[in-house]
Amino acid sequence: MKQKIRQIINDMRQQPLVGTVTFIATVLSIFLFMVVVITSRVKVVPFSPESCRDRLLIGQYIHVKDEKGNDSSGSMSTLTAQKLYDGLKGVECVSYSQYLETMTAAGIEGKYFNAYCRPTDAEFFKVFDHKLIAGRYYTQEEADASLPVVVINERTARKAFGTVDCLGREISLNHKKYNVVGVVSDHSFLATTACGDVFIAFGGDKEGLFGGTTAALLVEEGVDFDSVRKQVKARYAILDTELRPEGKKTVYHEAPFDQATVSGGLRGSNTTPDTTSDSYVRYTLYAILLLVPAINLSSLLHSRMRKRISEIGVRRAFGCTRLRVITDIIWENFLITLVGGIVGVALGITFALTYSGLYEDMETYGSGITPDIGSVINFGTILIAVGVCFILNLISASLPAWQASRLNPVEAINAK
Amino acid sequence: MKRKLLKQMLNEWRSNIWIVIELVIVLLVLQIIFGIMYSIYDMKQPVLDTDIDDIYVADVNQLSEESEGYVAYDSTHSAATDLDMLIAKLRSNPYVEKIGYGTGNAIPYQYNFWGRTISLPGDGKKSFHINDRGMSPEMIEVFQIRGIKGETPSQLADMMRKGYILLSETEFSYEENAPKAAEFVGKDVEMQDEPPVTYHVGAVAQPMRRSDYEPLYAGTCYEPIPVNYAKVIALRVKPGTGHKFIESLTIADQQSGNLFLTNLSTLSDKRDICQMDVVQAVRSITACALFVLVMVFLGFLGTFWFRTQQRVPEIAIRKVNGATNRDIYLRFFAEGMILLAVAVVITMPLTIWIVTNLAEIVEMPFDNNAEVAAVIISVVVLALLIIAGIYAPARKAAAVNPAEALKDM
Amino acid sequence: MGIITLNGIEKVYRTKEIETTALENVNLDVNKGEFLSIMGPSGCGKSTLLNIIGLLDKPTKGCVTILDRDCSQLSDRELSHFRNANLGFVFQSFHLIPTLDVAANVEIPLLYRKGVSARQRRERVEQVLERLEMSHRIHHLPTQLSGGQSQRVAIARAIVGNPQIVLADEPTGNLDSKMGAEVMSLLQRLNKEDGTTIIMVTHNEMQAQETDRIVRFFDGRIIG
Repeated sequence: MKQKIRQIINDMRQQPLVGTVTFIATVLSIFLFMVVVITSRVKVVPFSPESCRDRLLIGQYIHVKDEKGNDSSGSMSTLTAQKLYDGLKGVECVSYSQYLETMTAAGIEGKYFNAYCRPTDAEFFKVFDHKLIAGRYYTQEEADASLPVVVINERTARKAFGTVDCLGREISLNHKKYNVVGVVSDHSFLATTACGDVFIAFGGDKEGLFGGTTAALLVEEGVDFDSVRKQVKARYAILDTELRPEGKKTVYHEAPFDQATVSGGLRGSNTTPDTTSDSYVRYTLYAILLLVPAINLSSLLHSRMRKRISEIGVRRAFGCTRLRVITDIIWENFLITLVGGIVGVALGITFALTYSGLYEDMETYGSGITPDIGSVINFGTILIAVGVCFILNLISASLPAWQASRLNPVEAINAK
Repeated sequence: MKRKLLKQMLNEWRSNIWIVIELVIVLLVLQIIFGIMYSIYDMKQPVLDTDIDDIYVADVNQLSEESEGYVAYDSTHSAATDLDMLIAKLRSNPYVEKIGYGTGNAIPYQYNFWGRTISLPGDGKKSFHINDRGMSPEMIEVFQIRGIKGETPSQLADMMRKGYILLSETEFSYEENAPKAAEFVGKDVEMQDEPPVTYHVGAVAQPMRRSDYEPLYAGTCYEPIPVNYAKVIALRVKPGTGHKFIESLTIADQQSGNLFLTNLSTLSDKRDICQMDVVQAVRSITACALFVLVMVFLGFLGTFWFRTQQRVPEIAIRKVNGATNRDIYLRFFAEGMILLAVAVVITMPLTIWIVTNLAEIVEMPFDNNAEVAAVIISVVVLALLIIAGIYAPARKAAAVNPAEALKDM
Repeated sequence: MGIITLNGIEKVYRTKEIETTALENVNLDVNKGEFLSIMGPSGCGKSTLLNIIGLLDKPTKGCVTILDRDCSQLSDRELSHFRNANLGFVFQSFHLIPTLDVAANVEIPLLYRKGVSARQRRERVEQVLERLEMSHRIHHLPTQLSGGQSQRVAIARAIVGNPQIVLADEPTGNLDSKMGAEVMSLLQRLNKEDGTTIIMVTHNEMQAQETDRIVRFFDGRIIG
């Protein structure tokens, strides 16, 4: 092993340009691959405040047709959402919240600023694990009565009051005064369902079919999502009977959706989201990101091997089998790929954790990168990285190694 | 000499085949990427024909009844009078040039679409699709919208004050033989509603797009609306005074009676947020394109560096026999170009398929030239990169000293 | 019966245009512990013969028996193991691996032998280098060695696995006469002390005279 590494280093030293090119190509491809993996995993990997992602189902839209065939679709009112999602079997709790809304906020300083506000019920804080650093969450009674109480995050507390210590103080949102009952820590707005600067106690819009409500269902451990969907589908049928006098009928689009589907984009309120074409595009991208550098590295390795034909001949003369030639080359190349891979992974992780331009939501809300995304870098990600290195190595090294093993020892020894 | 070069390349087919395979993949990737980029670039057209940095927009909100300072409406005090006051307050700001109000659909950079149709009375068959943008006449001046026949914004605004609507042409028709907006000018038309409303069409005006990257799916209709329909305001400041305007503005200036403004920002800020997804997409595919290009560069650099080493004796013999440095260079570059040509030929069937189907693959409306341009750009860019990659090895080859090189043999 | 028996060996090289006969009906017996030299002009087929004895190349016709084993029936894998266990090679241009230091070069045959630990390998390498008086160069790279030193390292590599047979293809061809003599005496020592069978191809009549037997080659045939 030590010998192997020393030989690799000597080899690189004798071929500085090609060594460097090989190294850069490896680093670059693993780097880009990591960035792509991290940015796509961030959408589905659980992290606070959406630690529940694996058990989360989301209902957002309702789509109805009238007798003339006219469609209307959009977000649900809380009333509709409750009809569809309240009290389902296998669901631990369900929260009804509204879309993020930009509001003009002001605290004691009298300075106005924009805050992203989300009216929610009290269950919201059971489904999502915001980190409470002071005070309490509002109660279901407060929410049901839409009392003027709010939970705000740190950055809003600092903007409004210059301190996190602001319990019981008044914050003005769209010129209405609210009482701060709790402060939660800042979190990444990549948690698209749970994020917000300000959470406002809200009882929901209790009339009409449409509104701005999102239902977030925390499914019990071990319960199959499809069993929940089946119940929801039955609820749609009940809703249909209610709508019949108006001559309307619902169109079911496989709601509620899991995190992977939601993060891929629901593509409007009147269609069934299609995750297959998304993953098709993603896998093509992965394939290209791997194949192009693999071919490159393969051709470079092929050239490097040409310099070492004589060495292979000598080794064969002293009893090295063909199989051993192949495994030695692949193993040696894997070491090089691994070193390049470690550098690439380190750069990729650093980049993905510092460059907010990668994430649309962060740029929109200016939430910046908070440590919670770090949870994306777990054992699984490292495993992916090593796996990618290995695949890259296998694709690029197999053929040159095989070719090297087929060499005639006599010719190989005397090759220049 | 060309034939000999080909023969030599055939002898090195093992390593050449990899280069060609790589070029084939990269060519296909680049064709798609450049196709997308070209069409995005080609489609990019500002929503308005004016400098939007001087335009500010804001949402109009109303206090809830339980808010502090809420004053109940009565016969003399209404949302309309509040908005008049609010607008008057802003208009008195020394930096404000023009100010108007409109429905939620009156401003660009948001994906609202209020689709309606208009038709000539009694001739329901000939209908014209519009995106209805209801607004006060002053908005025409805020957005500096001009008439097709040279009408100034203020002339157009005057027409709207008379209750006329303005239409723009569309770029996209759902029906064959769809009428032109110009056919309706000077006529009374019916606008789809229950019951239909009759309007006089004043002029054909410039359109207002939804975003920079979208064609007009319907003609823009500027429809005068009463003040109580107002959901947004837009104002134009005197050129270059934006920051002074914002600094001069107090919170009291943004509030009147029960109404207050939120989300006050320049239209260009609104654009940046609205088009973030496009910017992101462009950024991602640019990164992807750069990546494959760097790979090609590295691949050629590395492979040809080796070939140079391998061919030192050959180069030396050529030089002894009178080859100039230029000949050596050209030979290397010719080799690169031949490889590219082979790749282009191999990709041809797929290229043709991409050219005819790219619009569907990427779900974007495509200009006819985009695909052809994409192919040409891909080949040219690749050619340049190959030359860049071969440059250093070729230089090294040209620097071979024949006496030194042949001594070892 | 000798340690190596060649029976009716024929080697023909075919390309599209021409057919070249490199060896024609070669019969040879080598006894255990013999130091044999093969002489002949360039291109007479002596290197081909050495490659066939070394099991690096297969004869077109004929039978190679080494250590009582008929080697024509062995698979590539078996051949590799056989070479590893019984044969050592010394080449004219040394063929040391430039990216490995002396110790690592010498170690190579032991790498392909089962059940030899890293420590055992190191000890064995040190022992062999000690014997060939190359211990002081153990961590040098081949480029830092003189020609004679290189060939001594190559010999160390050839014998590190204790093969019964060492095949040397013009081992002194790239060396000046003083160094050549040194290498020759080294080979003599191996032959005498260890009883290693050595087959050496050479152009040097004087060196050939030092060996037990000379086989003369001309146009693919043994002539004496």
